[in-house]
Amino acid sequence: MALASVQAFQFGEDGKLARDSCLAVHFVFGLLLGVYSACTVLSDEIKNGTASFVLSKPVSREIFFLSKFFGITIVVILFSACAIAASLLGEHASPKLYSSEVLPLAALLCAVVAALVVAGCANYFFDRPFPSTAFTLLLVFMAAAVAMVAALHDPESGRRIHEGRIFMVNTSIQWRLIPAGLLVTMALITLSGVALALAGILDTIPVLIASASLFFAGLLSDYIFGYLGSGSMVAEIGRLFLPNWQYFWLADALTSKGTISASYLVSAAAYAICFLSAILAIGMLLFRHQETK
Amino acid sequence: MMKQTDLTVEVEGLTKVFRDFWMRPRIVAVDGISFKIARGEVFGLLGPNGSGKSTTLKMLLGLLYPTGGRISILGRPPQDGYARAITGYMPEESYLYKYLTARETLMFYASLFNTTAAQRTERVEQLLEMMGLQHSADRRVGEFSKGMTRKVALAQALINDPELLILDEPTSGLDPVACRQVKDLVITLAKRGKTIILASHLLADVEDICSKIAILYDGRVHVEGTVSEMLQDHKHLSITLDSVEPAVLESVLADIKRHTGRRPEVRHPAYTLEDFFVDVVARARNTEATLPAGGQHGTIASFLSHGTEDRASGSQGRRQ
Repeated sequence: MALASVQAFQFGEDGKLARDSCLAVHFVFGLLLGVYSACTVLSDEIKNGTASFVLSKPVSREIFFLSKFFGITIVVILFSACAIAASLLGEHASPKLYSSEVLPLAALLCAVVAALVVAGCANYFFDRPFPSTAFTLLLVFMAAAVAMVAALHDPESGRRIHEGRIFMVNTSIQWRLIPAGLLVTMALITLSGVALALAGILDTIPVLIASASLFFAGLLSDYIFGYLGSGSMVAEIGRLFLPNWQYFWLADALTSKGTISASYLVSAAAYAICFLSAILAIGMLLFRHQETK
Repeated sequence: MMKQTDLTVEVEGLTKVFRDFWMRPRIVAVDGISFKIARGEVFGLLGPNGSGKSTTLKMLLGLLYPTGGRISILGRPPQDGYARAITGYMPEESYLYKYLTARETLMFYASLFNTTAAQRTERVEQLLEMMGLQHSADRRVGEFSKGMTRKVALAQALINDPELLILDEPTSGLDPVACRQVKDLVITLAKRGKTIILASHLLADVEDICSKIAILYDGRVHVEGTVSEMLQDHKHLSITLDSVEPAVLESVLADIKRHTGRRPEVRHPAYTLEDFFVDVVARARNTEATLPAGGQHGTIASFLSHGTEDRASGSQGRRQ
């Protein structure tokens, strides 16, 4: 996301390319993280026997499955928090029409380097696990970097927060990226749920292939079921079962100083929750009858 | 005849057929086996590789679903929450989370049972001491040797003070001292009325501790019965005496020959190599001021050993 601020061109609007790049990186890397985590915590655990070890205890398969989902959800949310913070700094640091800011990019890079260095020291001196420590510290340093840049470059932020319209206006720091990032986070959690449901019955590679296929099919959902199969019952059923990722990708809504409304966020969250509930119920049903060796 | 209430495990006509992707039968891993295990028995499942031992254990644990037949653990199906709550399981491979320390691992597995925080802490500390892991308790399991990992796996199987303990190759990877400790533990638990099912290739271990065995081959039980009945040689008799003067011995041998017409064979009974090794290590331990971490084995945890005398009647005990 720091790379988003290193660009030579812009398409007619300040920061559009940086915003789109940051959200795309958030989406793609979040997908990899969510799907890979789902495979690791379920497919791999079934294959290497740790799942059967836990399931030999008085733990119901439904609780085991749901605990894995909530674990992945927390990881995705933490990743998204880092990604959104990095997007805010990356976009703010990108070259604008008349100026380019150095401080946000420096703060972003320093936060990453500091997290890695401190986690390395914690591992060396205190034997703390490096990945989880680095991940947690990255979140802390990233939040600190955003707070520092906001204090220096957008001192009006505090007042706008009080007025409850911080995400709804075009400001020096593009706070309106946060709702767009939240929508991407919802999509990531939804696809992680799909991957987890598949991971209960399939190996890692088939889960990755199926998840990728579902992702691309979901991106084309509007085209396939809206344009090609408009009005037919098959299209309606397909629309029902295939998650439509376009609901969660609103980068274009941010162009021309646009914002994403709170009501849209709520309706997208409701869609994600409904779809997730259905997919998790199917996943639990499949996992209940799955033998663990 | 055993009373129904004395039975901990009852298996009738158990069958497991593994199928391929197209649901065609591929392997008959277990083929209609039946056995009953009473409370306080140490039951050994023997058989060569692929005979169906591990598959049977996994069906007892509810991890695999039988194709046919019935399993009852204290009158309940193996998937039942109560059946799992009273069962401890140590698998052949130690499937532990490598990034957790030994203490965290035991705390995690303890938290899956209905125990209070104080109980968990007490049991975990006792088990760490019993397994000689107190000095390595805060090291990650991924850094452990195979033997130490097996000890953690055994400790977690005991964390709920189980009524039924299922051990798959429990002594695999352990040093002889730890092997002896595991066998002593199994005997102690059996004396407390705990039921133990043990699958092993190490026949000497099975012979030492099992009161009853079943030999599986190709998914079927070929022999089942008590170890003492199966292995007793009724054609011969051995008499063990304290050492006597040669003249007394000659006189006794002459008397026996006069009555039976044959001179009996005389030899000194030998220690087993395991007894000898354990004795050498015990003597060395007494002379050493310090011991390497993980090398010291404590006494059996008090929550596992209390009430031994009260329930001794249910035990079949160690083979003499």
